[in-house]
Amino acid sequence: MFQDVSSHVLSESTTSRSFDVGQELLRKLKISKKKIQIFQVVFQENANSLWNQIKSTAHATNNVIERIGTRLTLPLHESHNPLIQEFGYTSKTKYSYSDDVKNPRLQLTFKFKPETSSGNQKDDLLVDMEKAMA
Amino acid sequence: MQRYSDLVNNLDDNDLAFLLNHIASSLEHKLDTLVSIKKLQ
Repeated sequence: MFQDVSSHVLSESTTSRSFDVGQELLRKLKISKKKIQIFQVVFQENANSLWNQIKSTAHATNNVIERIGTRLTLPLHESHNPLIQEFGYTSKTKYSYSDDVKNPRLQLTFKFKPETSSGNQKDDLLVDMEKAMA
Repeated sequence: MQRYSDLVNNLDDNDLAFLLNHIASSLEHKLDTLVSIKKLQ
């Protein structure tokens, strides 16, 4: 339990880049001010190096994901105004929908690389995102 | 949680610092996952 709770306090502080979060947790746990200061010293000594390690680590995508596909759809009956296509300098097409749009849907498809050791191919991961209803 | 506060408050300062440093040094993997999750949220 000591390891789990202490680890939680330090990781929450590190990911928030502030000891305020950890301090609040420790206060709630009724840890004395003197001991909280020890947590703070350890946090300060380790936070930067942990952040540097995290920043230098690619978050798995390059090694695991082969391709990411996107698909944006809008049911025609959900908007009274036409879809507008804009062409920018980078020649990418930008689609703009009118303000009355109700439920645009964005689908992201993650295609995984085959596992190097076994050659097994994972199924595509489909993430369906919808605009929150206001 | 009472056990946790009793344990921490009664630990020797040097022992607590030693244990916390040990925990902090093993956080890299866990933090990597946490940061990835927070980026997705």
